[in-house]
Amino acid sequence: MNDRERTRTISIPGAEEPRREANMDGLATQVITDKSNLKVASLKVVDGPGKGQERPVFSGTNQVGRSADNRIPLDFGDNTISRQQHAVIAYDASNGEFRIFDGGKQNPVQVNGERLSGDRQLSDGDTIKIGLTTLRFALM
Amino acid sequence: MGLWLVIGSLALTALALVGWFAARARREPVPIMPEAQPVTHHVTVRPDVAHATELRLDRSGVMNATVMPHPDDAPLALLEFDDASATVAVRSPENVIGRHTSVDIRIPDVRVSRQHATLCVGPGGAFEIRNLTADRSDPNPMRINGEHVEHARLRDGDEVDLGGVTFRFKQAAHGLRTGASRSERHP
Repeated sequence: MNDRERTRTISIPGAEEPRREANMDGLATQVITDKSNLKVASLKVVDGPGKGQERPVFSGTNQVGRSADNRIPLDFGDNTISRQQHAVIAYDASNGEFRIFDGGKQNPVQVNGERLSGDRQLSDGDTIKIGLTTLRFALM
Repeated sequence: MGLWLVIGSLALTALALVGWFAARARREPVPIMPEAQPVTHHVTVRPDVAHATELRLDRSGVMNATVMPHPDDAPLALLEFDDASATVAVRSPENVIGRHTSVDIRIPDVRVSRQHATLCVGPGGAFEIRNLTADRSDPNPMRINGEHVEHARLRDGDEVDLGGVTFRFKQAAHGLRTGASRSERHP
Protein backbone atom coordinates (compact mmCIF):
# COMPACT_ATOMS: atom_id res chain seq x y z
CA MET A 1 0.00 0.00 0.00
CA ASN A 2 1.34 3.32 -1.13
CA ASP A 3 0.27 5.11 2.05
CA ARG A 4 1.89 2.70 4.51
CA GLU A 5 5.23 2.48 2.72
CA ARG A 6 8.08 4.42 4.27
CA THR A 7 9.61 7.24 2.24
CA ARG A 8 12.81 6.22 0.49
CA THR A 9 15.73 8.62 0.88
CA ILE A 10 17.70 9.39 -2.26
CA SER A 11 21.02 11.15 -2.60
CA ILE A 12 20.97 14.35 -4.59
CA PRO A 13 24.14 16.30 -5.51
CA GLY A 14 24.74 19.00 -2.94
CA ALA A 15 22.60 17.25 -0.28
CA GLU A 16 25.13 18.09 2.43
CA GLU A 17 24.43 21.82 2.03
CA PRO A 18 22.49 23.31 4.92
CA ARG A 19 18.76 23.54 4.27
CA ARG A 20 16.20 25.54 6.17
CA GLU A 21 12.69 24.26 6.84
CA ALA A 22 10.13 26.87 5.84
CA ASN A 23 8.51 28.87 8.61
CA MET A 24 4.79 28.40 8.00
CA ASP A 25 3.60 30.49 10.98
CA GLY A 26 2.31 33.25 8.70
CA LEU A 27 0.65 30.88 6.24
CA ALA A 28 -3.15 30.68 6.13
CA THR A 29 -4.52 27.28 7.19
CA GLN A 30 -5.65 24.89 4.48
CA VAL A 31 -9.35 24.80 5.22
CA ILE A 32 -11.25 23.52 2.21
CA THR A 33 -14.31 25.66 1.58
CA ASP A 34 -16.23 26.69 -1.56
CA LYS A 35 -14.12 29.86 -1.75
CA SER A 36 -10.86 27.89 -1.78
CA ASN A 37 -12.04 25.40 -4.45
CA LEU A 38 -11.05 27.83 -7.20
CA LYS A 39 -8.36 26.38 -9.49
CA VAL A 40 -5.64 28.96 -10.07
CA ALA A 41 -2.74 26.97 -11.55
CA SER A 42 -1.66 23.46 -12.46
CA LEU A 43 1.26 21.12 -11.98
CA LYS A 44 2.11 18.79 -14.85
CA VAL A 45 4.33 15.77 -14.23
CA VAL A 46 7.06 16.01 -16.89
CA ASP A 47 9.38 13.32 -15.52
CA GLY A 48 9.14 10.41 -13.09
CA PRO A 49 6.70 7.54 -12.42
CA GLY A 50 3.61 9.72 -12.92
CA LYS A 51 4.74 11.31 -16.22
CA GLY A 52 1.86 12.87 -18.15
CA GLN A 53 -0.43 13.38 -15.14
CA GLU A 54 -1.69 16.76 -14.04
CA ARG A 55 -2.82 18.20 -10.68
CA PRO A 56 -4.71 21.45 -10.09
CA VAL A 57 -3.41 24.10 -7.66
CA PHE A 58 -6.21 25.76 -5.68
CA SER A 59 -6.59 29.20 -4.16
CA GLY A 60 -5.19 29.35 -0.62
CA THR A 61 -2.84 26.78 0.92
CA ASN A 62 -2.09 23.51 -0.91
CA GLN A 63 -0.33 20.61 0.73
CA VAL A 64 1.82 18.52 -1.63
CA GLY A 65 2.50 14.88 -0.69
CA ARG A 66 2.28 11.23 -1.69
CA SER A 67 -0.84 10.48 0.37
CA ALA A 68 -4.24 10.81 -1.33
CA ASP A 69 -5.55 13.20 1.35
CA ASN A 70 -3.15 15.99 0.32
CA ARG A 71 -4.66 18.88 -1.60
CA ILE A 72 -2.12 18.16 -4.33
CA PRO A 73 -1.72 14.37 -4.16
CA LEU A 74 1.31 12.99 -6.01
CA ASP A 75 -0.07 9.47 -5.63
CA PHE A 76 1.45 7.65 -8.57
CA GLY A 77 3.94 5.40 -6.81
CA ASP A 78 6.97 7.65 -6.29
CA ASN A 79 7.93 6.60 -2.76
CA THR A 80 10.71 9.20 -2.58
CA ILE A 81 7.94 11.76 -1.99
CA SER A 82 6.88 12.07 1.67
CA ARG A 83 3.31 11.10 2.55
CA GLN A 84 2.34 14.41 4.14
CA GLN A 85 3.39 17.95 3.31
CA HIS A 86 6.60 17.41 1.38
CA ALA A 87 6.05 20.96 0.12
CA VAL A 88 3.32 23.59 0.33
CA ILE A 89 2.20 25.85 -2.52
CA ALA A 90 0.24 28.91 -1.42
CA TYR A 91 -1.66 31.35 -3.60
CA ASP A 92 -2.30 34.76 -2.13
CA ALA A 93 -5.39 36.18 -3.85
CA SER A 94 -4.67 39.71 -2.57
CA ASN A 95 -1.49 40.09 -4.66
CA GLY A 96 -1.80 37.12 -7.05
CA GLU A 97 1.50 35.68 -5.83
CA PHE A 98 2.46 32.01 -5.57
CA ARG A 99 4.98 30.80 -3.04
CA ILE A 100 6.46 27.35 -2.42
CA PHE A 101 7.49 26.24 1.08
CA ASP A 102 9.89 23.43 1.95
CA GLY A 103 8.17 20.88 4.21
CA GLY A 104 11.51 19.89 5.76
CA LYS A 105 11.24 16.25 4.71
CA GLN A 106 14.06 13.76 4.06
CA ASN A 107 14.41 14.46 0.34
CA PRO A 108 14.95 18.09 -0.60
CA VAL A 109 12.81 20.07 -3.05
CA GLN A 110 14.43 21.78 -6.03
CA VAL A 111 13.05 24.72 -8.01
CA ASN A 112 14.67 25.29 -11.43
CA GLY A 113 17.58 23.06 -10.33
CA GLU A 114 18.19 25.07 -7.14
CA ARG A 115 17.68 23.53 -3.74
CA LEU A 116 14.75 25.08 -1.92
CA SER A 117 15.62 26.42 1.52
CA GLY A 118 12.77 28.02 3.43
CA ASP A 119 10.39 29.43 0.84
CA ARG A 120 10.48 31.25 -2.50
CA GLN A 121 8.21 32.75 -5.12
CA LEU A 122 6.89 30.59 -7.98
CA SER A 123 6.46 31.90 -11.50
CA ASP A 124 4.80 30.48 -14.61
CA GLY A 125 6.93 27.77 -16.23
CA ASP A 126 9.06 26.97 -13.16
CA THR A 127 10.11 23.34 -12.70
CA ILE A 128 9.79 21.72 -9.29
CA LYS A 129 11.62 18.50 -8.47
CA ILE A 130 10.35 16.46 -5.51
CA GLY A 131 12.04 13.11 -5.04
CA LEU A 132 12.26 11.49 -8.50
CA THR A 133 9.32 13.50 -9.86
CA THR A 134 9.68 16.67 -11.92
CA LEU A 135 6.69 19.00 -12.19
CA ARG A 136 6.08 22.03 -14.37
CA PHE A 137 4.15 24.87 -12.80
CA ALA A 138 1.70 26.63 -15.14
CA LEU A 139 -0.78 29.43 -14.45
CA MET A 140 -4.42 28.94 -15.43
CA MET B 1 13.12 19.14 118.58
CA GLY B 2 14.31 16.40 116.18
CA LEU B 3 10.70 15.57 115.33
CA TRP B 4 10.03 19.23 114.31
CA LEU B 5 13.11 19.18 112.07
CA VAL B 6 11.83 16.05 110.27
CA ILE B 7 8.32 17.53 109.88
CA GLY B 8 9.79 20.82 108.58
CA SER B 9 12.07 19.13 106.03
CA LEU B 10 9.17 16.95 104.84
CA ALA B 11 6.96 20.04 104.42
CA LEU B 12 9.76 21.81 102.47
CA THR B 13 10.22 18.76 100.25
CA ALA B 14 6.46 18.61 99.61
CA LEU B 15 6.41 22.35 98.75
CA ALA B 16 9.40 21.94 96.42
CA LEU B 17 7.70 18.98 94.71
CA VAL B 18 4.44 20.93 94.28
CA GLY B 19 6.40 23.87 92.86
CA TRP B 20 8.33 21.62 90.52
CA PHE B 21 5.18 19.96 89.25
CA ALA B 22 3.51 23.35 88.83
CA ALA B 23 6.49 24.66 86.86
CA ARG B 24 6.51 21.50 84.75
CA ALA B 25 2.80 21.82 84.10
CA ARG B 26 3.31 25.41 82.96
CA ARG B 27 6.11 24.41 80.60
CA GLU B 28 4.32 21.41 79.10
CA PRO B 29 0.56 21.64 79.44
CA VAL B 30 -1.06 18.25 79.59
CA PRO B 31 -2.84 17.76 76.28
CA ILE B 32 -6.59 17.35 76.52
CA MET B 33 -6.76 15.57 73.16
CA PRO B 34 -3.67 14.34 71.37
CA GLU B 35 -3.01 16.42 68.25
CA ALA B 36 -3.26 14.46 65.03
CA GLN B 37 0.06 14.37 63.30
CA PRO B 38 -0.04 14.41 59.50
CA VAL B 39 0.82 10.96 58.24
CA THR B 40 2.77 10.94 55.06
CA HIS B 41 2.58 7.84 52.92
CA HIS B 42 5.08 7.75 50.12
CA VAL B 43 3.75 5.88 47.17
CA THR B 44 5.68 4.57 44.24
CA VAL B 45 4.18 5.35 40.88
CA ARG B 46 5.60 4.21 37.59
CA PRO B 47 7.60 7.16 36.21
CA ASP B 48 5.89 6.93 32.83
CA VAL B 49 2.45 7.21 34.45
CA ALA B 50 2.58 10.07 36.94
CA HIS B 51 4.73 11.55 39.62
CA ALA B 52 2.91 11.35 42.94
CA THR B 53 4.69 13.40 45.56
CA GLU B 54 2.84 12.38 48.71
CA LEU B 55 -0.46 11.27 50.21
CA ARG B 56 -1.35 13.06 53.44
CA LEU B 57 -4.00 12.12 56.01
CA ASP B 58 -5.18 15.18 57.92
CA ARG B 59 -6.98 15.23 61.32
CA SER B 60 -10.46 14.92 59.85
CA GLY B 61 -9.43 11.85 57.88
CA VAL B 62 -9.34 13.51 54.48
CA MET B 63 -6.68 12.15 52.22
CA ASN B 64 -4.94 14.63 49.98
CA ALA B 65 -3.07 13.23 47.06
CA THR B 66 -0.83 15.59 45.20
CA VAL B 67 0.05 14.53 41.70
CA MET B 68 2.61 16.77 40.12
CA PRO B 69 3.58 16.72 36.48
CA HIS B 70 7.22 15.80 36.46
CA PRO B 71 9.26 17.98 34.10
CA ASP B 72 11.21 15.13 32.55
CA ASP B 73 9.66 11.70 32.71
CA ALA B 74 6.01 11.78 33.74
CA PRO B 75 3.54 12.57 30.96
CA LEU B 76 -0.07 13.13 32.01
CA ALA B 77 -1.34 11.81 28.70
CA LEU B 78 -0.06 10.63 25.36
CA LEU B 79 -1.18 11.62 21.89
CA GLU B 80 -0.48 8.88 19.36
CA PHE B 81 -0.31 10.05 15.76
CA ASP B 82 -0.91 7.46 13.04
CA ASP B 83 0.42 9.36 10.03
CA ALA B 84 3.74 10.44 11.46
CA SER B 85 3.88 7.29 13.68
CA ALA B 86 4.87 9.61 16.51
CA THR B 87 3.74 9.89 20.13
CA VAL B 88 3.57 13.23 21.90
CA ALA B 89 3.75 13.32 25.69
CA VAL B 90 1.43 15.81 27.40
CA ARG B 91 3.21 17.07 30.52
CA SER B 92 1.26 20.18 31.41
CA PRO B 93 -2.37 20.37 32.63
CA GLU B 94 -2.96 23.27 30.19
CA ASN B 95 -1.92 23.09 26.55
CA VAL B 96 -2.62 24.76 23.23
CA ILE B 97 -2.49 22.46 20.21
CA GLY B 98 -1.72 24.02 16.84
CA ARG B 99 0.65 24.63 13.96
CA HIS B 100 2.31 27.82 15.22
CA THR B 101 5.84 27.50 16.64
CA SER B 102 4.73 29.18 19.88
CA VAL B 103 2.13 26.58 20.94
CA ASP B 104 2.65 23.82 23.53
CA ILE B 105 1.82 20.85 21.28
CA ARG B 106 2.88 21.60 17.74
CA ILE B 107 1.45 19.78 14.70
CA PRO B 108 3.44 21.02 11.70
CA ASP B 109 0.69 20.41 9.13
CA VAL B 110 -1.03 23.19 7.17
CA ARG B 111 -4.45 21.57 7.69
CA VAL B 112 -4.13 22.34 11.42
CA SER B 113 -4.84 25.93 12.50
CA ARG B 114 -2.12 27.97 14.13
CA GLN B 115 -3.98 27.79 17.46
CA HIS B 116 -6.46 25.01 16.87
CA ALA B 117 -7.55 23.63 20.25
CA THR B 118 -6.91 23.71 23.97
CA LEU B 119 -6.23 20.54 25.92
CA CYS B 120 -6.76 21.26 29.61
CA VAL B 121 -7.52 19.31 32.76
CA GLY B 122 -11.13 20.13 33.67
CA PRO B 123 -12.75 20.38 37.10
CA GLY B 124 -13.50 16.64 37.06
CA GLY B 125 -9.83 15.83 36.69
CA ALA B 126 -10.10 14.59 33.12
CA PHE B 127 -8.62 16.22 30.04
CA GLU B 128 -11.01 18.36 28.00
CA ILE B 129 -10.49 19.50 24.44
CA ARG B 130 -12.01 22.68 23.00
CA ASN B 131 -11.93 23.91 19.39
CA LEU B 132 -10.49 27.45 19.36
CA THR B 133 -11.58 28.07 15.75
CA ALA B 134 -15.27 27.37 16.46
CA ASP B 135 -16.22 31.08 16.54
CA ARG B 136 -14.50 31.98 13.27
CA SER B 137 -16.26 32.57 9.97
CA ASP B 138 -14.40 29.56 8.51
CA PRO B 139 -14.12 27.19 11.46
CA ASN B 140 -11.54 24.46 11.13
CA PRO B 141 -13.35 21.27 12.15
CA MET B 142 -12.60 19.03 15.11
CA ARG B 143 -13.97 15.50 15.36
CA ILE B 144 -13.93 13.12 18.31
CA ASN B 145 -14.46 9.47 17.28
CA GLY B 146 -15.81 10.72 13.95
CA GLU B 147 -18.35 13.07 15.50
CA HIS B 148 -18.15 16.80 14.81
CA VAL B 149 -17.93 18.57 18.21
CA GLU B 150 -16.47 21.81 19.55
CA HIS B 151 -15.87 20.70 23.13
CA ALA B 152 -15.45 17.25 24.66
CA ARG B 153 -14.19 15.48 27.74
CA LEU B 154 -11.64 12.98 26.55
CA ARG B 155 -11.58 9.35 27.58
CA ASP B 156 -8.74 6.91 27.12
CA GLY B 157 -8.55 5.75 23.52
CA ASP B 158 -10.61 8.58 21.98
CA GLU B 159 -9.68 9.48 18.43
CA VAL B 160 -9.28 13.20 17.79
CA ASP B 161 -9.27 14.69 14.29
CA LEU B 162 -8.02 18.26 13.82
CA GLY B 163 -8.54 19.43 10.24
CA GLY B 164 -7.76 15.93 8.93
CA VAL B 165 -4.81 15.12 11.21
CA THR B 166 -5.75 12.31 13.58
CA PHE B 167 -4.35 11.17 16.89
CA ARG B 168 -5.43 8.84 19.66
CA PHE B 169 -5.70 10.18 23.21
CA LYS B 170 -4.15 7.96 25.87
CA GLN B 171 -4.70 8.80 29.52
CA ALA B 172 -1.38 8.04 31.21
CA ALA B 173 -2.41 8.17 34.88
CA HIS B 174 -4.96 5.47 35.65
CA GLY B 175 -5.20 5.09 39.43
CA LEU B 176 -4.37 8.70 40.23
CA ARG B 177 -6.28 11.25 38.25
CA THR B 178 -4.23 14.02 36.77
CA GLY B 179 -4.30 17.62 37.90
CA ALA B 180 -2.81 19.85 40.54
CA SER B 181 -4.43 18.17 43.56
CA ARG B 182 -7.56 16.44 44.73
CA SER B 183 -9.19 15.42 47.98
CA GLU B 184 -11.32 12.41 48.78
CA ARG B 185 -12.85 10.88 51.88
CA HIS B 186 -10.55 8.28 53.36
CA PRO B 187 -12.37 4.97 54.01
